[in-house]
Order: sequence, then structure tokens, then C-alpha cells
Amino acid sequence: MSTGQEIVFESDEHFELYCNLFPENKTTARLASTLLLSQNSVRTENQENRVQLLAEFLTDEEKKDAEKYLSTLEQLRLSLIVSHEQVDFCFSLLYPTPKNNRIKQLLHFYLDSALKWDLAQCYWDALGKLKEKQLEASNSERIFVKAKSSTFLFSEWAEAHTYLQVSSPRPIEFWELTGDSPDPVFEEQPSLVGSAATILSELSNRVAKEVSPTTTQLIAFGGAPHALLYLESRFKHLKIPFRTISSQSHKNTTLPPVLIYPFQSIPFYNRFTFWSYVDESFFASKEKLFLTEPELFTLMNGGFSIPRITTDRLYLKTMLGHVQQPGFRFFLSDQAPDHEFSQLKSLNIGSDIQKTIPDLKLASKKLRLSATQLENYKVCPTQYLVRHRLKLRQILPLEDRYSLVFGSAVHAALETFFQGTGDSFEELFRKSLESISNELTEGSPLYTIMLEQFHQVAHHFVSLEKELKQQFRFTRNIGLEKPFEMQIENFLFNGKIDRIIEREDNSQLLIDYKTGTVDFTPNHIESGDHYQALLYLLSLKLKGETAVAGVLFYDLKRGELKRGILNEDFCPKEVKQSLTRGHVLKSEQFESLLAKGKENLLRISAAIENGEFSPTPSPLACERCEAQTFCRQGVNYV
Amino acid sequence: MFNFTEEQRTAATTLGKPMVVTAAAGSGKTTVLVARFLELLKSGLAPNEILTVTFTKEAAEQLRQRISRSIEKDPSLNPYLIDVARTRFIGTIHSFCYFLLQEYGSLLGLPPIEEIISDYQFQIKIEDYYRKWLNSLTEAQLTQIIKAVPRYELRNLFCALYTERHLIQQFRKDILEQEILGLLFATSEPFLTSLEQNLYQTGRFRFDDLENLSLNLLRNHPGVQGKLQKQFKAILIDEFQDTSKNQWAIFQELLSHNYQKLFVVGDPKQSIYSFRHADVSLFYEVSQKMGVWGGMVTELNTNFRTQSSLISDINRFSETFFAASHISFQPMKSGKDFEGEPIQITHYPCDGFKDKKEAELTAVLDAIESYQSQGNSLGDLALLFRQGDRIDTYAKALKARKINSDCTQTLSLFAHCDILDLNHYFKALSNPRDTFSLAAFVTSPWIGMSIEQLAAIRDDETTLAFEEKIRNHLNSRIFWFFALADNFRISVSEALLTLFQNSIYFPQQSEAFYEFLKPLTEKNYSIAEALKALELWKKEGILFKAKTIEPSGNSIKLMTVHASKGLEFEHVFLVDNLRRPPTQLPTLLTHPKEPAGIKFRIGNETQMSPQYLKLKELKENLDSEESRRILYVALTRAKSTLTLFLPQEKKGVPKESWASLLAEASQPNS
Repeated sequence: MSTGQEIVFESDEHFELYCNLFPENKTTARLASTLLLSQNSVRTENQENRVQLLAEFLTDEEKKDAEKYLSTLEQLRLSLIVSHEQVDFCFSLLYPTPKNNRIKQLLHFYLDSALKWDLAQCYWDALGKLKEKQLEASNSERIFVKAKSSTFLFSEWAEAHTYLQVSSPRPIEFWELTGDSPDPVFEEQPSLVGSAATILSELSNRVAKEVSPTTTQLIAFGGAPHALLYLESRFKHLKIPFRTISSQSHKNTTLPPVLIYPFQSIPFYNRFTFWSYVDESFFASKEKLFLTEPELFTLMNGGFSIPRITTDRLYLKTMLGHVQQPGFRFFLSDQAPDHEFSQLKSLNIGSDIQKTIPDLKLASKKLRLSATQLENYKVCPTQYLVRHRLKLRQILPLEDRYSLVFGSAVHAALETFFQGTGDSFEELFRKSLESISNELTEGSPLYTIMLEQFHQVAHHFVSLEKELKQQFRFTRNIGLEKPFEMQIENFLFNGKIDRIIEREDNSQLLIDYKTGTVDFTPNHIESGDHYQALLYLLSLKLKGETAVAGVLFYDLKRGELKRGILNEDFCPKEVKQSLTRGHVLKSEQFESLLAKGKENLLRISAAIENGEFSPTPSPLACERCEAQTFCRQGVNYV
Repeated sequence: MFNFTEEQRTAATTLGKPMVVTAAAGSGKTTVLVARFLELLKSGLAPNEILTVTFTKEAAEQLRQRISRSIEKDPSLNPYLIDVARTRFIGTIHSFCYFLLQEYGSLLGLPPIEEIISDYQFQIKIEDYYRKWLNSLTEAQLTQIIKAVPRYELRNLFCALYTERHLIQQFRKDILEQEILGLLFATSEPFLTSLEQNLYQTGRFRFDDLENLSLNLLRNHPGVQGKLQKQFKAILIDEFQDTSKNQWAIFQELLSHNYQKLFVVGDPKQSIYSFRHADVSLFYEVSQKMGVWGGMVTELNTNFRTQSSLISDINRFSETFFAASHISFQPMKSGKDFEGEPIQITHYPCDGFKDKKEAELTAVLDAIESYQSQGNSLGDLALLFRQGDRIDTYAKALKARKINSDCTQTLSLFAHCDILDLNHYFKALSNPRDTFSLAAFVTSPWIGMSIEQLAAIRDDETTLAFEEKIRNHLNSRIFWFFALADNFRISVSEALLTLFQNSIYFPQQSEAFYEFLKPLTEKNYSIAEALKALELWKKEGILFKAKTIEPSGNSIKLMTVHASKGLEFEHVFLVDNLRRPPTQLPTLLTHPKEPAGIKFRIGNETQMSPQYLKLKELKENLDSEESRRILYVALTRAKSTLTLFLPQEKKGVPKESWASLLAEASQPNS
């Protein structure tokens, strides 16, 4: 007892038990001070308050000591107290001396700090230890709602009809809040990543229906912090009083209609109606945060009634047993790992019972699609969503947009060149560079580098024009940067054709300038990966042009005219030879390819219109995709 | 005290003449080193008169502990030595150089050492000077350079010019004559020098700076050199095969022709750090000089680590694959009576797999499962890799089969979702018009807005800009954010603190997260500086290491052969055998005895300067030899069993890969 200079527990047993826990014989005072010290680095608010408390409490030396034992005490801190109720309860077992009241005050103080969520997390993680799960399918009272919580796209929402029918055909207020209502109430309504929001909306609606003066609805909560935030906001919105472990309402002793507790600290009273919610954050294991059995035992004997923090399987099994009792409604996220919850999941899921709710919000009404948009969608729908539906573009330094800038400068220069302003190609290129950015002025390194690359392009340009005349029988330009818009079925498409030329046989040939690598083959149209040439050809066809030779890619990087899609009927032998094999098609092949392409086109357009934007991660799609930050599923994502 | 073989005893106790000890794997090299240290103490030397250089900090610490323990047990030694023996002069070459510069750096006009500059900070410094250099070039110069070097390689080249500047300067004249390299070097030299000065004057050094400056100090300040030469009456060098030319020059200054002080121990067959300029030829050179210097070469050839059947197999294998190179090979003797299994070779089928790598992975996983089912402990097993990049794949696959593994993963900074979110947070703070970053941040779990809400805001028909709409909708919820964004100059730490206070989210992989925050917060960057730094690290592909899997007692160790240096394991699986020695060579090649060479473009074709071709050939030979040595190190890690994984199908196995070397060596008639 020699160390207890300032604060001593009234009962000697209590004190000794603490000493067992901390062989260094630290006093409770140091414990409390460490609780405080450990937060200083995280939170500065109330700092003054805390410093004051500490100054009253400890000598300087003791403060230093307290820091030393931080890690041990941190464990205790993380496991000890989660709610104001618990603190009150623990201290109700002790004599209400001024000193004990002081500690109590400190612990309440601590609970109001930012770190309280660590505690909750810690509790939820405990269940992650559970390896063997036994569930009987016989319980008709349980509700299972399955939804993909980590895709925010809200595409799927399923219910298990073998259990209780989920009665709401649509996800109720959540949607009304997001846009349909003229005056959105976002202030009150924090939202949630993922359609976990759906589950939680559903949960809150159901709880709301059952609220009665005689029973308390207890939600055993095993979700991520932001999910709790959402759930809280739901109850606020439904105007149902509730209390969570972190509520500041500990002074209020009457039970509210709804209680939200961490999964493993739920009290079992008969008067409660039990609900539970679990998502993937529940399973991340943090073993080191838990107390050992002896430590736990010591604590329990020390007057702290916290039996529910343990890695003991037996106990966890019992816990889960409670969840399985009749009357317990269980909401499970789809992201829960299979091996943990396999049986539970197998009870639940059948593709026949999944139904898709058409997503009105992500669908857009006026669609006008370009080749780039279609191609983006094919690469990954989420990429399309971010770039074209939400119109979000990253701000990048000029250097990172090198190819883009260079390409558009070349395009612009070529357009004006053929309009015949009299300026040389190089002059035009310089002008268009300067018009792109203030940073691109003569003498700046990037300008010089681009100019050097342009010289290669200009060199190729001369030989390509020659080849165009000799091989492709060019006579005149009939269109430069020509915009088009067309309607196919209900969809509008638009674009711009770099150049249309007329040939000796009066057929038209469409030319697309490329300053980067060209890897096009006609198969890409069939597979739905390429839409540019397709849209060009369809637009001319729709205008009633019949003599269309095809599309030719004007490869300024390598100085080649080898790729494109050409109709054999308009191709003299030498053209056929100069193109890469397979790029000149027989008339009927040509037509059938267009028809195939058109099918792809319509399918993708319909999907876009319906708002189907689930990501399709793959190494190729994700490599340089900025939308990864939105889909959160990229291939290299950790 | 020690139970020594004749050779070991000779190595430990013959004082007064220089000695080279060629120590095979597991031959008790460290024990000999400890015994020799004690012997020197007994002969009257004080601990700080003995300079002991080890390869790693860990090895130094281990050595110190063993020496202390041995002193404790030896009644003939004064127990006060236990403390004294924890001298600073047992350490790595860099810790010794650090000491030198800290003590005598002022003689070179250097300030006290501020820090050993990290990769992160170095990249930022380089970037500054790279820009300056680029801007200083005339249009004609830049055009000429860009014709020869692709623009995306330019920065790396500048970096290489800096790190290799001493080797280049040595042959200044020859290099200025190589046209494009001459131009590069002539134009960049002032900037390289001023970068060097900038770093030195602020007390920031790289590891090779420590070596160069120490050498400079010893060569140009006879006072210091004389003092140290007098102080050190013995110099013990461990892992001598991995010593570089520069490091050897430092030792030579300290010895100053009194070679009887010198004692080196190592195994030239285990030299595997040429990418850190280790030069195995030094070992042979010094061994040959022993005759002239009146010293001796002792060979410790008895392996006490590995059971005897395995040793005879390793001998047979090594003989074959060393025979094809210039490395001389002496078979090891077995020091263990125990005879166990010979080398196990698992020939795995490749049919039905995407590629051989995948086939190998499956075979290895199956083997681990059967290993486990035979009641073996996972903790006794190590998987050794040629390079670190496959470790991640294996760790993930093991996890999927619920097998514990223990490894350090190297992650790209920006593959980590929490880090991306944070990057967007900074961007959104610093640029109110950066809609993309703002949207990314508010939809991240830190704030938790849904994409649907974002779309609803986008569709809102008012004429406000998108970011203003977001602000209107969210203002009351993240008022703190907008208040912070309006505040002109805030530091990263402030921004982070505010974020942590106001959001209830916290990153899931907090260890990796802290690892990332470290370089940002330790410098107390402003947001703008931090963003610049992040952009740069992203571009340069800076990786950081994180122990992503909590080690538990019973888990398989996954590591590279390089990391396994000096370690031993009960059971070893050698995987990742299909690699060729690196074929992609850098734009700039340097050599300590030759002028540097460069490869460049003419039109679309890659050309190599004659000097480059010469160095390339040298380097390829060295790489091929080094590859064999790394393989040898891998083979000698096991105590009782060693399992190799080779594809059944011979076709498509790269020449010079371990799989091909091992397949050849395992032929019974070879």
C-alpha cells in the first residue's frame, strides 16, 4: 500500500488485485493518468481541462512513470470501459469517497474523448475469433437481409423469403432524402458508403415499428463506426429516442426505447427485443488488444463487471448462442468472410431470391454517348460513372498529361493545316501548343521536348500523305474535324471525325489521327472494346452514304497506314497488301461486323441508362484508373 | 572453452600475422570471430583497440552479446571487460564512418551529421536539382539529349549521374569524349556538385557519402589517419566477400601497410551484394597477397549446420553449377554425424495452369499442406525467394489456405486505400477547385457520403459549381473541413489532427498507415509541400515496408535469400526458381576501374556506346556468377531438409535460371 499516496481504493482486495495486474505496483492514480496521457497525442480539445486534472492528480515524476507503462495500461484502457453505464455501475460497487468520485469523473471524461471508438472496435473484433459456428435453420423468427455492403452502387438487395418476408418493396426514406425531396436534409442525415445503408435503413424501420413503451429494442451492433453513425442518424430522423454506448446521456437512468450496444457487451434482459447487425469490419482480428484470462479474472474481482471481453471460444460460442435464440433478428452483411459464417450464409442465399432494385438515382435521363464513353464503360462501368456520369476529372500537372496535350496539339495543327492558312505545319503546332497552356512557351523544357517529338511526327506526316495519294488514291478532303450526332433506337451518339477524304473512285475514307500506339484490330469491334470506327461508319451509313471505303488509322507515331477497317469492294490490290492482314473485310463480313458492333453499342447504352455501374476490376482496367478511389476494389488495392 | 577443430583453433589463436579465413556455410565462423576477439583481449589489447566490422547492425549486436557472454564465462579475463567490450568499434562499416565524421568531420568543413537521408527526402532533393538542370539546358542541348534518351528516363538518369558521380568523375576525360554522355555529364555536373554541397552543408548524408567522405578524411588528414592507425591494433572484418572497393580503401588507410593487424573472414561463394558494390574479387586478391604479407589462409570447411546427406548433395550440385563459372569450389565436410534425407526435388506438373509460376505456387502450397499434415511445425519451415516481389503472392495464397506466414511486405504507397483518401483530403484542402479530390474525400469512409448522394448533387439544377453544391449540402456536417480549407497555410500535422478529431473513422491497417505518415509528419510539411512530395514519391514508385501479417509462433517464414544471410532453418523450400539473372540493364553503367558507358537511341533504335558494351559484358558475367552464389547461399540455409521445386516440363525454362541450373546439377551422371 506504500505506493498509494494520493488515491487508494477503499477495499484492500481491490487494490491488491490491481497490483497483481501491474507488477510494477502502479497505483490507480497512475492508471487514470495514463488514460489521459495516452489521449493527448490524439486530441487537443479540452487539453486545458485535462492538464488541470492531471496537475491536481499527479506529481511530475508520476507523470513520467505513467508514460512508461503506457502499453500495459493501454490494453486495460482498451478493454476496460465502454460505456458511461458501466462506469457508473462499477463505481456503485465502491465506496463513494471523494477520491473514487474523482476517478469516476476521469473515466467519464475519458469516455467522451475521440478514442472511444477503439473500444467498440475491440469488442466487435472479439467475435472474429470465432471459428466454429453452429446454426440451426429451424428458427423462423430470424430475419436475414443480405446486401453487398462494400459496393456503394446499390445494385443488389436481397431478402431471404424462407424466413420473414421483408415487407418494404423499396428502401424507403433513404432515397427520398437523396434527391426526390425538394429540400434535402443532408444535415441531419449522414450517409454511408455502401448499400449497408439499405440494410441499416431496413433495420431501423423494423425497429421503429416495434417500438413500444414496455419493451426496449436492443441492437447488438457489430459494424463499422460509420455504419453506426448512419444508424444513429436514422433514429434521429425517425424521431425515436435511443442510446448508444457513446451517448452522453448516462445521467439519464430510464431506459430509452432503443439501445445500440457493441455486440459483445449486450446485457441480456427478458424485457429486451434483440436485433443485431454485423458487417465485415466485425471480423478484422486484433488479438493483441485483448486481456488474458488471468487479467480479466483480476478485473472482474476488482469490482469491474466486464465479463464480455475475452478470446475464450467457449464464451463466444455462448454469445452466438444468444444471437440464435428465437426472437433475435440478425442482419448480416454479404461481405462477412465465408469461412466464418459459412453456415449462416448457406441458410440464406439463393440466386432465385435476389432481386435487383432499379436504381433511379444513378441512371441519367439525357444520354449522349461518345466512343470514349462507351469504351470507358466497357473497361469498367465505375470508370464511366466517375468520368462521365459524375464528370469528375483529376487535376494533373502538365507533365502527366503529356500524351494528351501532345495529341491534341497535333490534331489542332493538322486541322488548320488542311484549311490552308498558309502557315507551316510546325508553326501551327507551336501555336496550338502555346494556346494550350501558359507553361508551354518557347524555351521551356517541356516545349522543347514536345517540339522534338513533333519533328518525328512531321517527318512521318510527309510520307503518310504521299502514301495516301499513291496507295489510297486520295483526291480531296471533304471533311475536317467534322462533328456528327445520330440517334439509334432511343439513344443519342455523337463524335467528331478527324478527316474525311474522297478517293479516285469517289468513295469516302474516314481518317483518324493517332499520335500514340495503335493496337486496333477489327476483332475489337466484335468484342465491344472499340467504338470509334463503328460510330463513324454508322453515322455515315445513317446519312445514306453508300460508297464508304472504311476507317483508316493514321499512325503518326510509327508512320504507318496499316490498321483500320476497310471494305474490300473499295480496295484495290495494293491497298489490301499494305494493310495488316484481317483489316480489309469482305463486304458481307464488313456489314455483319457493323451489325455486331451495333448490338454491343445498344447493350452498353441500355446498361448505362439503367445505371448499372458495378466495377469490374482487372489488372488492365485498374492499372492507371483514378476511379479506384471510388470503387475501392481495384486490383492492387490494399 | 570452445570445442574447436584444428582449423578453427588456428584461425582463432594465431596472432601477429595477417589472416584470411575462408569459412564455408555453417562452419562456426562467428564462434571463431568471438574466440579471436577474446584471444586479442588476453594478449593485452583493450576492446577499443580492436575494430570489428560486421555486415549488418543485427550481426554486430549478436557479436557483442556473444563476446560479453564469453568474457563472463572466461575466468582468465577481467570481468570489467564485459561492459567495455560493448565498444562502439564493433559495428558496420557505416557506423564506423558515422563515428569518423561525427568526430573529425569538421576537418573537412562538414557540419555535425543531421541525418542519414532517407529515400523519401532524397527524391525531393533530386527533383529540385533535376528541374534546375533541365531549365539550364539550351534548346539545342535538350533536343540532342531527348533524341538520345526517352523523356521518361531522363530523371532516373540524372539520379544515376548523382549517385555514381564519383565513379564518373574519376574518368572525367574519357567520359566527356563519349558524345551524349559527355553532354549529359558536362551540363549536369554543376548541379550535381551543388546538390552534393547542399546536402553536405545541411548535414545530410547518404550511406555512400559516409564512405566517400571517410576515405577522403583518412587520405587527406594524416593526423586523423595516424591517430586511428595507432589506436587500432587489430582489425577484424566479417563477411569480407561483401566488401566494396571503397570500403577496402578505408581499411587500407587504417592498416597503412601494417597488415599483421588484419583478420578477415568470409566465403567468396556467398558474395551476394554486388548491387551494393560488393566486390568478391577483393577476397581473392587479399588471399593471394597473404604470401607477400607473411600471412596465412585458413579454410574452415566443416559444416556443423547441415546433416551429412544433405551436405554431400549440396556439394555435388554446387560443383556442377560453379564449374560453368569462374568460381572455384571446395566441397564441404560434414560436421554432423546425423544422416538424413538427401535433397528433395519436387517436379511439379505444369499442365492445366496459366503459367509455370502458377503451377509452382500450387505445388508449393500442396507441399506445405502435406508437410503440415505429417505433424511438422510450420515455425521450422522457411520459403526462400530469389527476389521479394513474389512474396506477396505467396503470402496471400497461404492466407487463403489458412496457413500462417510471417513476412515483411513491400507495398506501393498508393495502392493503399487509406493513403489515397488522405492524398485526396490534402488535395481538396489545398485547392478548392479540385472537385475530383473533394468528391473522393467526401465519399471516403472519413466522411461517408454515398455515390448516390453525389450523383444527386451533380444532378441538382442550380447553376452553382459542383464544389459549391457539395459545400452547400455538407457544410454543417463537415464545417471543420471548409474552415480548414479557408485557412491559408496549414501544416500536415494540423490537417491530420483535425481530421482525426472530427471523423470517427480510422484506417484499418494502422501500421501501414503510420509508416506512410512518418516521412510526412517528421518534416512538418505544409500541405502544399506534402502534396509535392507525395506526387514525387508516387511517380518514383517509392515503396514502403510493412509487416502486414502479425507474426505468431507457428508460422512459415517467407524471405528473400538476401535476407536469409547468416540465418539457418530446420527445413527449407527453395521456390521462385524460374527467374533469369536480370536482363534489363540501366541506361548508365559504371565501373570502379573503367569509364562509365551509356545506352541511347538513334531514331527508334537503341544503341550502346562501346564502353557500355564492354561494361555490359562484364556486368552480365558478374550477374551470372552472382546468381550462382545466391543459389549457393539458398542451398546452405537448411539444417535437416531441403526441397527444390522444379517444373516437369523443361521447355520454356529460362536459361541460367536456377531451375535450369538445378535441373542440370541434379542429373545423376553430371
